Amino acid sequence: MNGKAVQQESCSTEEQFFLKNFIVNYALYFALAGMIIFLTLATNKFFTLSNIVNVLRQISVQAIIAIGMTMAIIMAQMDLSVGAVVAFASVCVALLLNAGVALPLAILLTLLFSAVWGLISGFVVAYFKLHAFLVTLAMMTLVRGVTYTMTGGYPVGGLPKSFFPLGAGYSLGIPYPVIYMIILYLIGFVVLKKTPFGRSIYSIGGNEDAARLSGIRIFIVKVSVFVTTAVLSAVAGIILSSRLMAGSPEIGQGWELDIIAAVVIGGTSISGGVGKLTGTMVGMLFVGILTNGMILLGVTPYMQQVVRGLVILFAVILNSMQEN
Amino acid sequence: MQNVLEVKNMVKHFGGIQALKGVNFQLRPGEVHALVGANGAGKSTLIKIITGAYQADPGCGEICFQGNPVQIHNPFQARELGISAVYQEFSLVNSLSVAENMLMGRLPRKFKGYIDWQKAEEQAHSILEQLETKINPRTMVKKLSVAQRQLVEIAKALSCDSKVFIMDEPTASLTENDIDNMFKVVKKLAAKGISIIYVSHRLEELPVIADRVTIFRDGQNVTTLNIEDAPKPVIIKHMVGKVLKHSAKSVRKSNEVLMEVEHFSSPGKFEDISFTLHKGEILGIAGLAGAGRTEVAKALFGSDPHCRGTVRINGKTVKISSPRKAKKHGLAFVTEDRKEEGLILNHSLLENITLPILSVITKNMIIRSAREKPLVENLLRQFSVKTAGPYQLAKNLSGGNQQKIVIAKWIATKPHILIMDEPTRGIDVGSKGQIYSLLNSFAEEGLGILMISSEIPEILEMSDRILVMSDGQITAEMSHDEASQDKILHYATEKTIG
Repeated sequence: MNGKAVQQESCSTEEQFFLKNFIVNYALYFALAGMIIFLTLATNKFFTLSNIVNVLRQISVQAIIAIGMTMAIIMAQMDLSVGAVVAFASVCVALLLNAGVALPLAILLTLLFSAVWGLISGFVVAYFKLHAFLVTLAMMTLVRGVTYTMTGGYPVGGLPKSFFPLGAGYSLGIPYPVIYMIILYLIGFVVLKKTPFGRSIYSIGGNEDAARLSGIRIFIVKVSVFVTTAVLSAVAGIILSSRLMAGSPEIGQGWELDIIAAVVIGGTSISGGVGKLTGTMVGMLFVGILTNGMILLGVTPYMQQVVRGLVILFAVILNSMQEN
Repeated sequence: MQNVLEVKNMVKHFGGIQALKGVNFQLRPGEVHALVGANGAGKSTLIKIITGAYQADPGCGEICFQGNPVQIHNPFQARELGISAVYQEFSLVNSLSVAENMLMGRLPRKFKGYIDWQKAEEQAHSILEQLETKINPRTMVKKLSVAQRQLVEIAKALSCDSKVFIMDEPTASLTENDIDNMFKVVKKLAAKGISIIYVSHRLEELPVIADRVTIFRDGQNVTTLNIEDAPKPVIIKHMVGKVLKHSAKSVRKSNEVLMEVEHFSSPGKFEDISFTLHKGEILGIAGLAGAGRTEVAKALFGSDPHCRGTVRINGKTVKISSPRKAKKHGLAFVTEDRKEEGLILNHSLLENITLPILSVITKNMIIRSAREKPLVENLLRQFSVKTAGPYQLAKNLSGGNQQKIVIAKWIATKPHILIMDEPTRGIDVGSKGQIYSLLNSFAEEGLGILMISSEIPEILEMSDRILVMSDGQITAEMSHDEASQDKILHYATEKTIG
């Protein structure tokens, strides 16, 4: 008797439940659209081609890393060493170029050396079954330290002119980094959605025991994800170096947290198994436009941080509502 | 003599399932009262109601403690009253000392609220002395053996002045020597007038330790006997009840050996397991919880790095070091815990089902939906899964349908050997029937099925041959025709080690 009553009650609230779910699931999209409309009306600079290109270029470098971070978080892991690897790659490619190594080889070697950091993180995480938070926290300090040591703490300048277009060039009015970002997102999307590797990432994050018993190669997948994250961080580092025409051991500080925040705003669950790359893209856009809009509106940098913090807080709460 | 504890007409439902159907139970002061019954007979539920972990159905049943009706809402209240459960080791805090554990929440205070450590140690020491143990109250619990931890548990209960002790399988993880000590302690407690409810699957030890025994079956107390009147065959007879006539089915007989397992052991889990599995046969593995059956299944499936022994599949010796290798050798494993190990609850049925066969549905590195979707839809139809479609999330299915998904996922790998651990645990009668007929049809198609089950009627009904395990060893092998509930229970309760 009791059971029936409960059932009836749940029936009458089903529509409400659906509506709530719809709002919760698409809250980010609504907020993004609302913000764009507001900024378009409130400022005359926002909805101009040059400003939009500007926003895209600003987010592109971090957004590239966010692809790897999304994979790591879907796998119920994370990578705090990305910012340090950005600096490492930036210094590494600069030193190689200054040593007279040809540009393509310098880039290849930089990607390779950076991949080793991911290999180490991934191996330690997978072999010792440790949580990536602690492992990559250590790696973050380690890699940053190595980078400082490589240059004695100074930036590396005097790079060949041929390096400049790579990160600062345009094609059809679109900055190269934005093009890289779009291509990498397309690849990332296919990998996550359409390949056994992508499915394995989701399954490990969803239920590692079930994945293992289903014959998923946990070890290889985990290591591969950390290598991917490191290589994408290196791509970001090389682009930055090119744009600055210098390798800097200082750059990328605190990026890991910005990126994790964008991924989480994009709806990827920190407890793993659930998430989308499109969400991450929208999350990056959201944060990028928010920052841009606040600058256009003349909000002080200090206040900007307050707003960003509130946005992350709301996103986390929304996420938890989605999970229930 | 007044009963210290009396349970009257206790009823408890879990959803639609009646776990207790009007249980009556009396506990006298100073007696050791054994509870026995097959898995699911209701003894654990009764204990959990007595200790306040579960609540009885409202308005049904009564608990009287020392003659007064009481309501027990939680374990703390039970302990306040004087009813203490002695668990294996779970309720101790490893990183605290013995004295801190024993007196947790009741540590003696000096002025200003500081803890009086000297007094605490003295109190702990005097209680431990009563148990004639040399455990130092200052020792960290994590440094104690299992037997010593159990003594600390008992000491903890003793320090609360408990009148009723509940011991659930206290000897399950003890060595022979420790068991003797445990019995001495239990008898000493009884001599002090403390009553002990003693749950055990080891029927052999009852005459040594118990005064009376109450036998449970299907949620009811069948009878209570003085232990002198209850030799093992009598107890088993009451546990089984009226003899179930299992249908004389046509036993599938094939001489084609699929898998041979020889001297398969894993330290502390199971020992010297040897058997063969034929093509097209259902080999049942019966036994009680904790007999080591699941451990054998997991080891066969490459999930136990410490196992030794020989496994031959189709005559070839194989080394199965991971579930992935097991899958390659044609093994499939439907785990007993579908939520923790079988399914990814937040993922769709489609993603769950094709997880073990990703390589099959992939071409040029890309998963082909054109292959994946029809394959999944066919399986959903073949298994008559009640679902909105392949993209429904696994967590939104009923238990029975979830179980079908786990089986479907493994059938998709086209296995030769299917290991099923508790294939019908916690699922509705309809799904049960469907799973049985699926299993039969798989066997007819030539699959060798290893079916672990704690439900003896299920074992009797489904198996062509039956192995019985107890204490990590195989204690009997019998054909479908030879088998009976009594016989299986007899071997399942046999103590083998020591």
